[in-house]
Amino acid sequence: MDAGDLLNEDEEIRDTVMEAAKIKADSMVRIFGHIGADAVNVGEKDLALGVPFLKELEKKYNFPFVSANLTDAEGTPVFKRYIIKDVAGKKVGIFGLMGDMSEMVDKVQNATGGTVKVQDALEAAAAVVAELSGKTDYMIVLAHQKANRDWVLARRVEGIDLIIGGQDYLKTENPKRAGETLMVNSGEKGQYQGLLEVTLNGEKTAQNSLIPFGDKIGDDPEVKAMVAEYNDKIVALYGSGPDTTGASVAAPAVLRVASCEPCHSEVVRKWRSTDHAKAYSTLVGKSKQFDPSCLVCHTTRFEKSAGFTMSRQQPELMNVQCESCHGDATEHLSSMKPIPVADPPVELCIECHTPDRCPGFDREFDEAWMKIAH
Amino acid sequence: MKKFLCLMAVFACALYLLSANLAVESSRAADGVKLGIAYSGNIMGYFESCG
Repeated sequence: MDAGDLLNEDEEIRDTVMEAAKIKADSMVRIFGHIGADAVNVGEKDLALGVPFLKELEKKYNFPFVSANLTDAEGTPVFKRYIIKDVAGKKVGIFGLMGDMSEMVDKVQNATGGTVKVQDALEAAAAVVAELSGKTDYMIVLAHQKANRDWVLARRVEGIDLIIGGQDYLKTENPKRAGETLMVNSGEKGQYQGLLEVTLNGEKTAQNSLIPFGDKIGDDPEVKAMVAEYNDKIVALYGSGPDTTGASVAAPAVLRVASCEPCHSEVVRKWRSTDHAKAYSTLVGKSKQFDPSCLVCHTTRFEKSAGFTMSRQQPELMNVQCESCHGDATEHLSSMKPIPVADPPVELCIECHTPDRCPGFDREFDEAWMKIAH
Repeated sequence: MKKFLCLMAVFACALYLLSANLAVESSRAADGVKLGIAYSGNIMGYFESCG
């Protein structure tokens, strides 16, 4: 089961990449259906794909989306509130929750244009627990909210055995406990598979493990084929751009950085020796050169002013060039106005060098910086 | 004979449950029912590294 934000990374999806985001979401749902997911909570990033599309996926794959407190304007639940699984004679109740703090409510409002409301999470949880009272042997909440709200939920609503949390990307080796309720988190981007083994022997004892998805775990051939199908669909969608043969990777026209070179030749020379200068070519070998979720960090100013766009796929803006960090240099080049970001903050680096992609980047920042220092 | 058939039925049920590909699985142990709860969160559309 999944605690939410399974399908998509962005709270807002640009029109130019919406089709790709939907292809990815379709693939994710298909893969999770193949794996045998029993319940999947809906997060605000999932909602950014549009409720009609999620309902389409739900129907197409008989997919078990759950949410006890997402409703339409009339208060009707948008998805199933809960699911009961019969496991060896034991009933397991599973329901989903969206955090109801103002920040989350705003995000849901933005993602759905106000068509979906977030009802009070504690009230919704209490209602489901009361409804299922005496009908289940084990109660699980998939909670897409901050961990501190998981504690409140555990303290305020009796009868919940397990809260599987999400939203703030924590991972818990050892489950937290509030009264009789356990709380677990498995991190982000599928780096770990959480596995809680519960023994129902009157006391409900549990043992938790986080299994890292490293290279030692082989690919499932069927899932691998589904991922390959996804890559093919993305190539078919965007592969009519100027670089479909990959030839432009080997001999790109003239990179944008050439405009900087006359005045900053030493800096550009240094840049050419860095991985930033090869960022695009690393995608080609994996057929990822048309995948918007990859291009955002492997091109210059993806879908921003004077930046790389999916509609044009400008070869001169491949790789992580000067303007990726220093901002749109159009006015700097035309009239020598100051560059927008003279001293880029580390937060800018972390937008792409995230913990899942670059474990330890924050601890080893000085070392990383020396590779590109200029 | 009846006892044997009952045992076979229990065995068949156990085989079925063990072979089911479910995110919530169980098996009956001597000390109670065991649930295996596989969980994730915040996968955010990630299923393969970019480069």
